Amino acid sequence: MIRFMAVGGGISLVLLVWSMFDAYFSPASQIRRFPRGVWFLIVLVPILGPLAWIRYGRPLRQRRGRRPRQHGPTAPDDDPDFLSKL
Amino acid sequence: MTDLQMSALSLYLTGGALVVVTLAFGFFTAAFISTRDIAAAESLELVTVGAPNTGGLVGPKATTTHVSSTNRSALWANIGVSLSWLQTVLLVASVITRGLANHRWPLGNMYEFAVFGACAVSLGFSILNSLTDITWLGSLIAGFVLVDLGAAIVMFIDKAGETAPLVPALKSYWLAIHVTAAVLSTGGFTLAAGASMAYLVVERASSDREQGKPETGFVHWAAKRLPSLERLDALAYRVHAFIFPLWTFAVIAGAIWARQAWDRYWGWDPKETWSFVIWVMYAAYMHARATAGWKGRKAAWLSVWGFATVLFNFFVVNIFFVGLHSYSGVGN
Repeated sequence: MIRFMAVGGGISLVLLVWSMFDAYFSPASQIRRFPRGVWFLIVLVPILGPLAWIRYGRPLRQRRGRRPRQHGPTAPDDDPDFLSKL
Repeated sequence: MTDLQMSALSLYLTGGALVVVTLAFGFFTAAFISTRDIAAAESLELVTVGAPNTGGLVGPKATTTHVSSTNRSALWANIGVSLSWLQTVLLVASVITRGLANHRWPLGNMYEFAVFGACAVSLGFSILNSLTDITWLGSLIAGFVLVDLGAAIVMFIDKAGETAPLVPALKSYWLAIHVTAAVLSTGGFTLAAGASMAYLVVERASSDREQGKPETGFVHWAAKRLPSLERLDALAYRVHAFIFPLWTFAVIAGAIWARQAWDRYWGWDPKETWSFVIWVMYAAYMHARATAGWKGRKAAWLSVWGFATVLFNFFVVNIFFVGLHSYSGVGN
C-alpha cells in the first residue's frame, strides 16, 4: 500500500508542478479550450488533470515540417529569422 | 505524562509543523512572485532620477510603486522566515517528544527519518538565512519539507505506530551517531541542491541573453528573481564543503557499525552501494568545482544529480529495496 502511494503520489506531484508551470508560462493566446485560470483548477485533479492539460490544453508545438532546414543562405524575404527581426 | 500521551503530543507537533510549513510555502512563493526584477527596478530609478523635472508627477510616482511592491515582497518573505523558525521549533519538539515517548534515539523507522530530515532542513535553512539572505530559496525548501512531512503523516506513520520499539539490530549507540549524521547531511544536501538549481537557472538565462535568444519562459522569469551567479556559486560551494565531510563521516561510521553488527565493514548492501554512489557524486562535484572546464554549469549538474541519488537512497531504497538496511518499517 505504501509503495503504491509513494509511486502514485510521486507521479501526480511531478505532473501537478510541471503542468502548473507549463500553464503559467504558455502564451494565453495559444492555450486551447479554456482560459488559463480554469486550467489551473483542472490541473489540481490528480493525474487526470495534468493529462487533460497535456492532451487538450497545451499549446500545440509548431510543426517542424513547416520550416524546412535549408542549407546555405536564404533570400531575406524567405528567411523567417530575418523577417522576425524587422 | 504517559508514553502514549507523549507520543500523541509528538504527532500533534508534527501536524502543527505541517500546517505552519504550508503557510510558509505560501508566503515564500508570494514573496518570490512579487519580487521585482532588481536590474529593471534600478534602471527605472535611474531613468526617474535622470529625467527632467516634469512637475514632480511622473518621477516620484514611478519610484513609489517600485518601493511599495518591494516592501510587500519583503514583508511576505519576513513572514515566511518567521514561520520557518516556528516550524523548526515545532519539529525539534516533535523529535524530542518522540524520543522521550519511546525511550530511545528517535531515528528507528521511516516516519522518524522523515520528521528528523524535515527538522534538519528547516533548521539548516533558518540558520543559513540568518547568516545570508536566502529567502529566494524558501519556497523550494518549504515545498520539500511540505512533501516530506505530508508523506510522513499520510504514509509512514501507519507502519511506525504510536510507540515503536527498536528493531534489535539497531540497539547500539552507533544509531545516534551514524543515522543522525546521515539524516543531517541529507538535509544539508537539500539546501546545496537548491542553490545549484538556482545557479543552473541563472546560468541558462545569461547564456540565452548572450546568444540573443528571446527572454521568455520560466528560466528568465525565475532568473530575474534570483541572486547573481557568483553569489549562487559561492553559496552552493560553501554548503557542499560543509556537508560533504559529514556525509563521509556518516558512511565511515556506518562501516564501523557494520563491522560490529554484521562482522564486515562493507558488503554492497543496496543502502551501502547507494551511499557510495552519493559519495562519489559529491566527491566529483568537489573536484569539478576546482577544475577548469568543469566549473560552473557542469559542476552544478553534478550537484543536482548527486541530490537525485540522495533522494533515491532515502525514499526509493528505503521503501522498495530489500536489504540489511530495511529498517524503514514500511515493507509490504
